[in-house]
Amino acid sequence: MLAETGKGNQRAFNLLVQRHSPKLHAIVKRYVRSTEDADEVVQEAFWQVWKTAEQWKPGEARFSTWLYRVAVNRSIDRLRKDKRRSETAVGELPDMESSAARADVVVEDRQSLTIMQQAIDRLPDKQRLAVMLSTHEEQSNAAIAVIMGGSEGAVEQLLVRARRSLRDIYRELS
Amino acid sequence: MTLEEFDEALLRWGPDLDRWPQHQRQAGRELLSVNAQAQPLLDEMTKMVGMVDTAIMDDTAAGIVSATVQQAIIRRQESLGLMSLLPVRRILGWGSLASVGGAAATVLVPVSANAPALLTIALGGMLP
Repeated sequence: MLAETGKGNQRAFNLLVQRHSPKLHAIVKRYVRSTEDADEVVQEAFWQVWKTAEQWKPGEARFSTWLYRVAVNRSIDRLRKDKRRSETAVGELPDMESSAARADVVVEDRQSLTIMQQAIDRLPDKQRLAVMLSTHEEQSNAAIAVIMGGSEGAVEQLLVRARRSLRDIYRELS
Repeated sequence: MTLEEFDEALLRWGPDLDRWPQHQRQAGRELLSVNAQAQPLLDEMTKMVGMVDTAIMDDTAAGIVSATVQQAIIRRQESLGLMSLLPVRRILGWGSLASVGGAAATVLVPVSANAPALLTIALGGMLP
């Protein structure tokens, strides 16, 4: 499919976008903490993929690893340009009580989910990204290291800290 | 593997033992078979990860597929020469070009900046 995309086949490109963009958007959105920026990062990442599809070598990395590396680099650029975002983002997080008030018969589940979303959003950037790539995209620790540009050992430490924090929250909810 | 090491491995590699390094996976499975405290830890991590996965899900990306494809098509067209035609428009008033990157393309652009641009691009089954 990527080879066809490299030849300019729009249908193949469309399939790639359909297959990968929803999860990519979800992860980027929680990483950069902005739907608008996530839209742009995803669009830029796929454009980069299309432009350079012919250069991709199947033996070197999974396509998704390559795609996420491109998207993460774009995201980091945006986070650097707007460092204030991480400070204001906590204030923009959904309010637990107001969310619960809107819920109906699934108040408890909805509230737990909202609390977990807040816990994820409050993780440090690298921990948040690592745990999302591991959980939502099911990337291996080695692949996450490639995506984030670090060592596998460093990724494991990020994951240990992130999962421990989230498990503490989960235990309180339980 | 001790229970503490099993717990550390859950945090490091997650609840899917198939994703653990081989020798840790084997040791983890052996512990699960002999230590009754290991299974609740695994079950807890499995449920927690499921909850995290659900929490990450995004319900705001409904239009992302079409927007991404459309944006890429526009950029593709620009990169393949339509932007470079602009100087031609300034010189000739009307530009008519064909065969960009092997695909047939005809571009008609009125001289007046106020008039609506007429842009016709005839492409084959593939994008140029």
